[in-house]
Amino acid sequence: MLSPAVTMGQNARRPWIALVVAGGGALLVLVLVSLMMSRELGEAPLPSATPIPPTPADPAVISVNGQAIGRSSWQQAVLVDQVMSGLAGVPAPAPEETLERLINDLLVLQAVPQESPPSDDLIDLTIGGLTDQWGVDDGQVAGALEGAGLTWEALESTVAWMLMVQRAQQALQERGLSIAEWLAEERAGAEIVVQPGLSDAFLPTPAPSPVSGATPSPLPGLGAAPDFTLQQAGGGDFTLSAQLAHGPVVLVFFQRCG
Amino acid sequence: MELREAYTDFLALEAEVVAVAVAPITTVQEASAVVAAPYPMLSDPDHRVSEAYGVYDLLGDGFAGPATFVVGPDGRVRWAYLGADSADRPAVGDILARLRW
Repeated sequence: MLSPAVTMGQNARRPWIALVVAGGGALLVLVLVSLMMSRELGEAPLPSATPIPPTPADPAVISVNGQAIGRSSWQQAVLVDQVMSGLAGVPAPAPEETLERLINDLLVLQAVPQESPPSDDLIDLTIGGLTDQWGVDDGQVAGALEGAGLTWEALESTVAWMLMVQRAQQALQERGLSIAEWLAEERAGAEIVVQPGLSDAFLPTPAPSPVSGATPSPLPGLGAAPDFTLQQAGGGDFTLSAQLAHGPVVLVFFQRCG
Repeated sequence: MELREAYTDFLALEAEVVAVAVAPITTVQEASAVVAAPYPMLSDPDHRVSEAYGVYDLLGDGFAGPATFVVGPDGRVRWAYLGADSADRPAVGDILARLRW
């Protein structure tokens, strides 16, 4: 379970990348091998070549050594992953897995900051290699993106991000480091903070109340849970804060008792 | 109910489940005996707690709305689900997933 400071597993799968490796063309092969390496190392897409700082409209869901990932960035990365997995015909990673990879990516990019984004030509080439491998054309890709509420630019920025992460990983390897071991060590020492409301990013939208006439009080923002003490059946009191000292609490409000 | 069957899964995650009802303690006691819930059932007779969580009278019936909150050990609400009616509850597996990450 997560508490505000967490360490997550370092390896996350990204199966759609695996379908890339058999592509043709000398330069394309280089790109594809890089992508395959990235997949093994657990890298991830983010819908921007540079991380977008959280704003009031896009609150952080997690921060890695003080660098935050905004909620919409995460959501978009999840959607891109889903689209790409769908095109590749492989299971899509869970949102948490995408977040795992984003954390790994940030650690890698923090260690080896990238001065310049990949060229448009390289991005186009990479996307071309992906679509070839998937056996789809640009129109099908565009349709899949549109179906998920994404634009072609989201795909391009994701690929740009992947290429930057791969460059950084390569630089680490040139220093004689094993990326997997390096990541394990970095994650153990990194300050990874889950922001309140993390899970809310994929919270199902509640249906409206079927009863009109009442004026429902709004749900509180996902912040501090109000503490309370209530009598419990069987005797004694229950105090939320006291119970939280032992672990998380699931509060279930019932309309009617029993 | 499903929550009861999965209660040991919650305990395995060091999580506690509590049910809160807008009812006097005597009513909750009686209900508890019938329900035989393994988790604590709490009485919120003056709906103070339900109001604090913004779920009181959501359906206009003078009770708490069918809501589920996952509160982390840091005292922050990690996840919340508000049902459209009393049958609209999150799947237990979804709640457990929120506790795991």
